[in-house]
Amino acid sequence: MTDLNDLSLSEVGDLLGAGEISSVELIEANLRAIEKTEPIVHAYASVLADEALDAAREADAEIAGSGRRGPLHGVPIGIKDNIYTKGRLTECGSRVMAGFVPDYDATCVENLERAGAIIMGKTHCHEFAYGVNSPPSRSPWNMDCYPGGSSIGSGVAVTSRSSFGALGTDTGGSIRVPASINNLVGMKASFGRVSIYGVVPVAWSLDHIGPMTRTVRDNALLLGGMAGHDPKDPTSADQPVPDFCADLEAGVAGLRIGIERDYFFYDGVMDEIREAVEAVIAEYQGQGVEIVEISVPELAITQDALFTIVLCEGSTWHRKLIREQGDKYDPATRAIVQLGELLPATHYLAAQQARSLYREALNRAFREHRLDAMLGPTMPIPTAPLAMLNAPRADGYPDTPVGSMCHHTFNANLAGLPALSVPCGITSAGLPFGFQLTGRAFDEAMVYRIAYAYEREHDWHLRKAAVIEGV
Amino acid sequence: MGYGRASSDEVLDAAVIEALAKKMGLAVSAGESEVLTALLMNQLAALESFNAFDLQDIVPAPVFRLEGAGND
Repeated sequence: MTDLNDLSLSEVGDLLGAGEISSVELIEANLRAIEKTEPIVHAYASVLADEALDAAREADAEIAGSGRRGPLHGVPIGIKDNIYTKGRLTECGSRVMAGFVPDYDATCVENLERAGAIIMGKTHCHEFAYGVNSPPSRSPWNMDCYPGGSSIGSGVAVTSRSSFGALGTDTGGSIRVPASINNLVGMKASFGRVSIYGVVPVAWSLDHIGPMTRTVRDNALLLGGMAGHDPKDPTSADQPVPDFCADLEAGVAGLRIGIERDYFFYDGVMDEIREAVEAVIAEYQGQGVEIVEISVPELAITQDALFTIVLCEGSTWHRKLIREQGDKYDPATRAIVQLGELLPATHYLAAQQARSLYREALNRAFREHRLDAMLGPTMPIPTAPLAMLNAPRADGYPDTPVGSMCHHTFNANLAGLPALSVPCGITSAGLPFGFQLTGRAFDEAMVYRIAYAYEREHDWHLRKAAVIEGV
Repeated sequence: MGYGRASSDEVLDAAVIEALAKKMGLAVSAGESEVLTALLMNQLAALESFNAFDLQDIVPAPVFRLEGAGND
């Protein structure tokens, strides 16, 4: 019999709906996987076993009495530990927040629990999601390599089959990078699509919360459960939330996808990844997509604009904490937080000017070329050994792995457009990677539709790390 | 995420940065001030990449909303 943990979120949901399994069985399956894999991968900061089982019993009773509330009812998920969960530890990977228990839920958590999802546990992240310290999580795809951040534990839990789906946060790539590294689908939706009320911010104008799953359909279901306008979040968009799965199977014939080569296919893209993503493009062409070559020179300023904004906005949030509890920060995080305070205000505003310039250039490219999406590699490299993150790249390209990893992801945060990483290959060294689709504002449904047209023709998303097969 | 980029050759005095940080209420030890100064030198060079574009008349929008977000 198939292990329940190997099924996708939507598959176990269908079984729940058909009365073939119970929510309690799903929690117990996840707990078995946690028991086996956690000593190896360390995905969870805290596991809420008793609470999840209680919630599952309630879900089973409700489903038996009045049916399922929706596709997430009774399904366990993981939540990144920088997202507030009422009455449950939220430590944000930091000694500064050790023992902190929020007295309210983040709006996205509230939405998901209203939809019937059950919180299995909180997942590890880099300290305050900055991405500079080293949490204990390891990717089962390669224990010696960087497992992706800052939504590390979410990525590791889902790829390790100890979670059907998990939430991450993404300020410059922190959902899409661990998704690519861990062979997952990861969505950073449009800015304002998912409320950021109740997330510990990295940078208010760049932060997003989004789903990490094994399949495109699962991702669309989770986004549907968490999205929606939130008066408590001034950046939240008053947009209707469509059924993101409605057009998944509509196909892609006649759609237009933009390819920008100078930036997304630059010399730093590893050959194996370049070839695989070219094959993705060729496949879409074969399915009737019109490929449009475009140019966006303003991409050149995205990295510097993003770092400057992150540093200044982040340090503003930490201003009180760093003075009162500075000694509790990891030294690497502390240095970054202090750095933001020393930058001139003119730099921050110039970075916001640069962002406006880039955002308009990208929107113009979408309008003038009538694009439905843009496509490129999610990352130029698959990952790198943890010990070599700040060393020169092993392939001789003049950059460090850490400098290369987010090269392709920053721009979508600056533009606020939806961006999705989709598995599309595994290197000869056994490391997964993905391609990235960027869509029009609030058109996540189109991004999912395009992604699904690729996923249904391949089995990359079904591949499982050998280490997990063995436990 | 990786922070910092190639710096220019101008050197900042770590003691000055340490004094500035302390003046602002940040607790920076002598050893840390060297790291902070190196990071600052790198990050101050970040705006060089903007010079290829004319930003002068662009009004920055620190917290923006997408067109059509519906809550303006």
